[in-house]
Amino acid sequence: MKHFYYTFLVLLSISSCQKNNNDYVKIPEKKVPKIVDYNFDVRPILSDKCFNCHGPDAKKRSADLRLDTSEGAYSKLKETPNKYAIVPNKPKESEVYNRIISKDTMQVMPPPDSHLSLSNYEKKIIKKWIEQGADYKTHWSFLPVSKPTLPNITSKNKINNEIDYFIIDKLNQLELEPNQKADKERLLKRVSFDITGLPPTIEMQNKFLTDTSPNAYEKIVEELLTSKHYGEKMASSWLDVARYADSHGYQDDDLRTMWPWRDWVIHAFNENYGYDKFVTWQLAGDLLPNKNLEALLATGFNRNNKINQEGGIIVEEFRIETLTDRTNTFGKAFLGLTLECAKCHDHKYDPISQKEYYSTFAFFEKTPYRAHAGGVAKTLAEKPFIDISSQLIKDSLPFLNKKSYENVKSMVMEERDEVRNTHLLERGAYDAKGEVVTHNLPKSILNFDKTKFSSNRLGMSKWLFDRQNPLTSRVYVNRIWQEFFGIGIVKTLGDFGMQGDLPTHVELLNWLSSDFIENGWNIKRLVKKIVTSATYKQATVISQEKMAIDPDNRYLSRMSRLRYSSEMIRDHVLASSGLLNTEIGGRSVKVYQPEGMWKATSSGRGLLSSYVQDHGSDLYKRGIYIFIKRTTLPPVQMFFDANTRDQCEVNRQSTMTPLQALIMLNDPTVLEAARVLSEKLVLKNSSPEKNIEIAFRKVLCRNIKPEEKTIFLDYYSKQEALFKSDPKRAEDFITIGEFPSKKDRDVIKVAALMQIIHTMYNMEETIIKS
Amino acid sequence: MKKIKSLVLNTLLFLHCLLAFMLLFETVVKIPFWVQPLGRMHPLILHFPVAFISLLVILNLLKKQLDAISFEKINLFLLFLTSLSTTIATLMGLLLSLEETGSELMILHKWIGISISFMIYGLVVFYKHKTFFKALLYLSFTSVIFAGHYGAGLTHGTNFITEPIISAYKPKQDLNSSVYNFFIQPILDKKCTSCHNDQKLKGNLNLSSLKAISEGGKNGPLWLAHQPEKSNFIERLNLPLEHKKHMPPNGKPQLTQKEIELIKVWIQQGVNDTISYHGLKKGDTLKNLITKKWLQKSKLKKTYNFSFASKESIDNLNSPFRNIKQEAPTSPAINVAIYGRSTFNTKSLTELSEIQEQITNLNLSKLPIQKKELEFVSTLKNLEKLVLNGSDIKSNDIKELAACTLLNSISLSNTNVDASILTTLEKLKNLKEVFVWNTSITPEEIAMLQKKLPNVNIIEGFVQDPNNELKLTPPILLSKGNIINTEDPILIGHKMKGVEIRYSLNKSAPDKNAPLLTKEIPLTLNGKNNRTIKTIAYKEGWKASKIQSFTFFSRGIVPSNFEVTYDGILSEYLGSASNILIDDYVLNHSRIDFSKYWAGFNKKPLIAIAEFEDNSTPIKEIVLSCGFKAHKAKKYPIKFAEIWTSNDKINWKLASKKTFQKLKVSKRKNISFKINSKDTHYIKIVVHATQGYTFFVNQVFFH
Amino acid sequence: MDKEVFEHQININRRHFFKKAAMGMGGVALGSLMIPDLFTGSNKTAIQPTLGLKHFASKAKRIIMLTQNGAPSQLESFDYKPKLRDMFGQELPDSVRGEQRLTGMTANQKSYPLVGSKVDFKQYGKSGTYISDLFPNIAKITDDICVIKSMHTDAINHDPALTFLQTGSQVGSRPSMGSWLSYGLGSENKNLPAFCVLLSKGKGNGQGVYSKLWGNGFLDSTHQGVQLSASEDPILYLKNPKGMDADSRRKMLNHLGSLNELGLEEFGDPEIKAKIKQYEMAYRMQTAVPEITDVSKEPDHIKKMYGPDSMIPGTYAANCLLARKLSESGVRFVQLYHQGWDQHGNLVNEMGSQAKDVDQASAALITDLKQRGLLDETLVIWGGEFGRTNYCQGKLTKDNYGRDHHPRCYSLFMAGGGVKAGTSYGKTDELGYNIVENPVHIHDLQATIMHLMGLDHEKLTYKHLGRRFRLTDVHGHVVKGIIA
Repeated sequence: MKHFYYTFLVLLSISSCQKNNNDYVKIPEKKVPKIVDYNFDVRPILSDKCFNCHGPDAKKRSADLRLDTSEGAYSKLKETPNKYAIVPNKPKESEVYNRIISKDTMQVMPPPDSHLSLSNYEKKIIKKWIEQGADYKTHWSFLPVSKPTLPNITSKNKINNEIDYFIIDKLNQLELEPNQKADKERLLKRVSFDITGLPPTIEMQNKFLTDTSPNAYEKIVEELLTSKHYGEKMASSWLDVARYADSHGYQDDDLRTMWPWRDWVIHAFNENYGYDKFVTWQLAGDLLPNKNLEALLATGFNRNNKINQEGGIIVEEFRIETLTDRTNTFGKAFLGLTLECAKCHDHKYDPISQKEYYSTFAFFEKTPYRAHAGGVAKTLAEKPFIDISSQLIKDSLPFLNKKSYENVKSMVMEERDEVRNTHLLERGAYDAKGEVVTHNLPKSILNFDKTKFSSNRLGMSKWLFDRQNPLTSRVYVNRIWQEFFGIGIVKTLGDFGMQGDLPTHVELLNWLSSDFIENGWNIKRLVKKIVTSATYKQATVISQEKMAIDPDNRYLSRMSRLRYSSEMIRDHVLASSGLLNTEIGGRSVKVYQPEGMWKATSSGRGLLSSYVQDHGSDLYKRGIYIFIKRTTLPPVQMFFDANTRDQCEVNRQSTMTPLQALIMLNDPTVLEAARVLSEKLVLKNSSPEKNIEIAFRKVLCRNIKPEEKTIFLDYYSKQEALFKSDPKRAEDFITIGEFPSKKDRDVIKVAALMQIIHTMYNMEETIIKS
Repeated sequence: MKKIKSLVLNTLLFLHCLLAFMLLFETVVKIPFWVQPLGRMHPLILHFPVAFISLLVILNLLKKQLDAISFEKINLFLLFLTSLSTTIATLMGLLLSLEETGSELMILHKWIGISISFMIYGLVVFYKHKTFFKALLYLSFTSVIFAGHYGAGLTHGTNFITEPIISAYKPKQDLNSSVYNFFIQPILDKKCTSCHNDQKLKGNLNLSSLKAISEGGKNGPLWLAHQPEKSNFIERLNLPLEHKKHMPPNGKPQLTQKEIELIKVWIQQGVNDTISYHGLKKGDTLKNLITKKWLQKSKLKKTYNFSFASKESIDNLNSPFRNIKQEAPTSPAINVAIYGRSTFNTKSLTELSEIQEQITNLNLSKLPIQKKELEFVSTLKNLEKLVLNGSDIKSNDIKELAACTLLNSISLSNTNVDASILTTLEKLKNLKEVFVWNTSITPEEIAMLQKKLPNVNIIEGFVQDPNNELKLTPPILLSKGNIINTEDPILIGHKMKGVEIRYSLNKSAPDKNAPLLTKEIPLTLNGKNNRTIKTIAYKEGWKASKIQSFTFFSRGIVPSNFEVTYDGILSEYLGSASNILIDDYVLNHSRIDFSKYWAGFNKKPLIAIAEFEDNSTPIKEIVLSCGFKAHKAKKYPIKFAEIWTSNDKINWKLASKKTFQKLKVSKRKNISFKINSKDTHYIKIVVHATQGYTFFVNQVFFH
Repeated sequence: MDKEVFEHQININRRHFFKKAAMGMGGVALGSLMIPDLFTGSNKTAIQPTLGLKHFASKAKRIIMLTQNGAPSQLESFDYKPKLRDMFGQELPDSVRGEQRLTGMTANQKSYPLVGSKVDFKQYGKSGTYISDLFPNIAKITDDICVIKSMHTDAINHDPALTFLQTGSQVGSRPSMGSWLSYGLGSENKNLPAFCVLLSKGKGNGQGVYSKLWGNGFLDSTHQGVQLSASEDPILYLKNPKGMDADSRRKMLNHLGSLNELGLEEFGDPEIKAKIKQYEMAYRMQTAVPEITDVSKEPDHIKKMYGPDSMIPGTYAANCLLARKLSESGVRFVQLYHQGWDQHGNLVNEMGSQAKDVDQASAALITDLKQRGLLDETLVIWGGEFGRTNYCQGKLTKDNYGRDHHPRCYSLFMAGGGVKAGTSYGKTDELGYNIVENPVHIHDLQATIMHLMGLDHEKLTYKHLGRRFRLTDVHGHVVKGIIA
């Protein structure tokens, strides 16, 4: 018996040393699970490494072998009869296994010139899966949404609502502890930015800090959700999805006026329209039985696509281009699928045939496009559009904020009365018309039952919001989740297909999705559910261990430290300095921008050939209202990873480049904010120390720490001395921005404090969800 | 002996438990890194058990020759050694196997090994049962032989042992053997026979030998003599890669153009299976093809005989100012470039000593490089290319480079080196090119160098042709705006340093003797509404620029306040008329259209009110600088224009009115109103467009 | 497998033991070889490594691409067609035109009268290549360039064609060629962006450019092309504000640094370290970039080489000079765009003045690189997005005419970087309408450019939304014929 005792000693030492040694933790041979699951362990491998040639795409299929269906995989091999790709329970007899472990370059799969290869782990998985019966299952995201029961958690103390059950459950498996609750100040900053995109005012800070009632936080959340700025925050990511812009795109890139549509989006979020209504109006508002102007305006969603105004385009080529854009947008925005992959050939990984692509395409067949070839100038909107007069606004679109005397035209949808058949286009080429197809939608998602759904865009939206549709709610919930936690439960927001990442918490996603549906697609409710979870309220501190085990924080054992979006950064700077113009909606504004950017790229034609900057309060509107010329994006947006608005995007990168530092250091917007705030504080002529404290609370939204204060005070005195010795320099420094400067300001003090505040704006924490 | 025995037994038991355990949890167990080295000693240790067991066998065979007691002793002792070493070797082997996925061969080797270990453990346990012992012993021994063989296969390749024999059977091929055997069959073996061989007959086709080929496949014969394009074989090769019938199938290694061409020609020549390269006549196409494309040594890529620098040292040496890159994963050569004159010091170079062997390409442009630095460079034995453009080197310093015998390219452009570098260059036997543009070396000396170094290409670079002078660009306006008050300073300059600008303020064109314009000058308008200054640029070695004239407009009287009732068409995007009309720019040549320079009006009229707090100097004239789309205008775009005056902004008096119907439309038009405005505080300008037309205004003046 | 690879494997990856295992070169090896690139700060590098190494040894290290935006006519530049002159005014034979689609501008034109070049051609260099009189300076360096006369593309309108040339796809925002190279090879001089863009306009009919052309698409923004402007602030927001000099900026960054250090202590987030680095690099750029972009100190003979315009910021000549300086300082990819080549009418006059603006500086750039010994490691590419028709658009007169877009064939040239100098490649029919020999598709060009840079266009991929994307989509063959 005592021999076994030795044995375990040794085994202990083996297992222990992998924890102790970090290098080893970082490169672990992933453990092969006891039960291999097709969806979660096997398909990702097959899909990534095999389906390209042995997948759904019939045209590209090699050796007439498909591995994405059991039928295909179990049947005799065409080329080497009496052999089988997969023999359940018998890896040695399965060619698949023999080929992937073969060392013979002529035999081995995937073939060398595909530049793909399987890792040891992947080989083991395949082997084990075959041993366990090579059992195929439907892709997880194509299964209808069902509400799972909450996992039972013994220690309820870390739990605030349903979300936490699922998170904690996973963390337990990983032997990770969730972080402590974040301190009130940071929590307030976080939630305020997440819901309104703006920093909490000092008053709000005081109120929250002093409110000791248990539901203090819930109160704040309620307050924020009712703010009119909630709509602006929610809209900014929707504009990416809708590829909204203020110009037509392509070379000539002339002016377009779609901003009334943008204002509707803000309105819709503030009114908390259900997601079903919100989307149905945008997809098919023109087809609603009871016509209403607002719904019609909403259909502008699918007129946001680029329009090529180049002289001598081939009309049909760009008609197809336009319709393709609408079809792809439908796939990406609502289904979270890479539908576009099926344009030129059957989808290589997902069960979507080229035919199905064009059957989806058929729903847009009669939607508007540019029907003439000549280059035209000053077409602010192409037909059909609503010509919005001040009267019309008063009567039926009160939420629009039009100032000019002229009417504003906003493009909308309308079925053209043309007789058109939809053809499958070979290789996706506009002039290679193939067989005729009729309205239909991918059946692997949900059968398009013509008795239930009408064969038009309205039916299309009905199909989207059918209780049985497995994707619509999952996709949207996942996107909202990502807005708050930085990474979706499914990381690839735009790909729920087989090549997409798998959900880290599939149960949680299912629970939230069905909960979302059951409550009438109520967005505000979903948001509230998320921000009131204990998971969301965690501190962001990162321990070495968590860094090593879960560097990307996929399992949320802490709150992620996320950098603000380009809009939030601008809004924070303006709001904290008191410059922000809080007016909702209206035409897009042209704020400070370096000389000559538009001129350099433009052909010299059109209304946007040179940049005419706005003045006065227009300079201080929120980031969401900044004028977007597609061919020359506003620099701040470009450098802070905003999207180009060329096509539907569901995600933004968050990268770090020196150009971002340069903007924060030298952009007049930031400098002006620092100046104006400094002037305000100096006028109160209280001590520098006091001023620094207040400024710090406005910018960092928390009380300054003593060690921080020492640094700032020291810096302040140095700066003050410097400027005293050279008042000219101080004068130069504070003449920035058009905002009228206070009379009889103390130049030296203002300059010195401005330098301090500007430094605060450049602190890492300032533009981070900490 | 007793003690040892029990100790050994325990250890054996323990080791085998461990072994069993690891087998059980093979997939789960992690081998900690510190155990790996043990695993890797397997190939070393395994020789002991092999040796021991062989001895054991021999001993047992020679049992009779020995006296029982000593035999027992030795036998048992040897057995212990054998069993211990075997289990250890096995354990190590197992550890090692965890690092890799099992190939068939390895798995075989593994299990035999393990079974041996247990068998020998068996030997120890059943030591007393003599017959059983013997049987088991020989069994284990034979298994050892197998295990050994497979093991060898793993490290040396399966047919490691048999290979020499096999290859011996293959007849030696050379240019006297048939073209088919020497050139073509090898291609087939490389690219086809894996699927078309004696065992595997895809499409019922076997390409492993000419005989087999002649039998063709299910689609008939493979090739038709003299008709390559009709031949199945060539056809399949030439199909598009995606095509189902394309051979070899997509994803498999394809035949190269070179190979296809050869086979084509060979078929063309009639599928001759005997003729050899030497057999072919001179000038024969097939022969030429082979000589040209198959026998000539293709430029073999450079290989280095020095080793790779470690990733660590490369990483450590990289800095923002020093870029160090290995040429490619397959090449140990390293390129180094150092940037930043201000941050450079000798250490920036000397720190590189740990990779001095690998540096083949060094760029030190624009750095303060002197003897000291070049001394280090001289230690770079494998240096091939050195760039010293614009550095501080002197001709003398260059001597150091004599040590870099592999140097084949040196760039010395923009340095002070002179012809004396020849002595060094002569020492560099591998030198191919030297760049001496813009150095102190004269064209004559370059010619001389070139003669002295016939194998070196000496690049002199761009030489300006003296009798083809270029024309300077005209002067440009540096001061802001072209609307001024009299005596306002204006500044006209040039982007090129050292240019002289001459000017004239009268009709006469400026020339060499005209006054010189060095700084900003005050411009007197002497009562006129505008004044023109003509300028020209001169510079030694350049042709004079064309004459450039600038017109400046009198700002006149500036209203204390200026507002419009309507900002103009698209003003939200192009700016308000209230700004455009009184900014400081009059555009002489710009497209007349909606823009930030032109305010446009059609349905709604232009109504502007100018206020003059101080009306001491009466306004005599009002000028509107207008523009029209003249080419498509049938009517005059302006219907009428009026000037009203008032003191209180309530009671207005019509001071002047113009209608334009008769007028011919020109692109630009200055509309001037002569008025008499004694003590008026407000002037109102009203301009109405003709129905269906748009007019544009660029500026308004009050004189 | 050669010895080096084996050794190399051993030294990069000691976990492998079996020889056989040591053979598999590929992503893994490259990945682990990655040289940390300051230009990419965040921990994303861990997920998508900036590979930072060539796939194989090659001469070219840097690229300067001189994109002639608007499509210069090959028939007045490099593709000499005497036959067209003889057939002046005759109808384009349908047999020649075949299935070629036409733009909306000429689709309903009554007739398609052929018209030859008004400009004369002469032969130059050892190869006796024909070059038109519009390009006397380029003609002088014929022996340094390789003219491809058989370029062809898919698109027939400017935007899609230009987008196709730069990103390998007509639509969608895919990464630009420069971004791909920055992603594949990293930056050489870490105080400068790896990918710079310079814009200029000629007098001819212009076609605008757009930031999508130098966008990073789905790649990390650190690979985005950085547009250098003609203003005294060469890179946006590079200049410190008034009243703040380099010294006080340094002081600010020091204080900022210590503040962020406090944050690092509290949160232990590696991103904070990256942020500090990022500010340091910004600071270095502030000094490094102006040094390079300041051309005023250039000696007179340089000004004469590139022409008098080279002193006027924002001109093509100035940009060529700047391109050399950037490239010389280790900028991986310098991209120029020059507008004004879209001669639908009045071709003779407009093309003349366009050529005048471009000819001298283009030649000067190549000569300048050569005389510094940098031409062999710098690849220069000169050309437009497509060609122009051999028939007249609009009114045909004795001495003036116009040409419409023609995707079926056009010419461009390359120099340096391992290209076969003094040769021309490919051939079009005697009417200059179709390619008869060695066609080179845009994707082939891209594949070749990457090959010259030591990259395998099939290996340099990036996984995005479930698909491995690459510059050449799923096409492209390296054109061996033009590689020295």
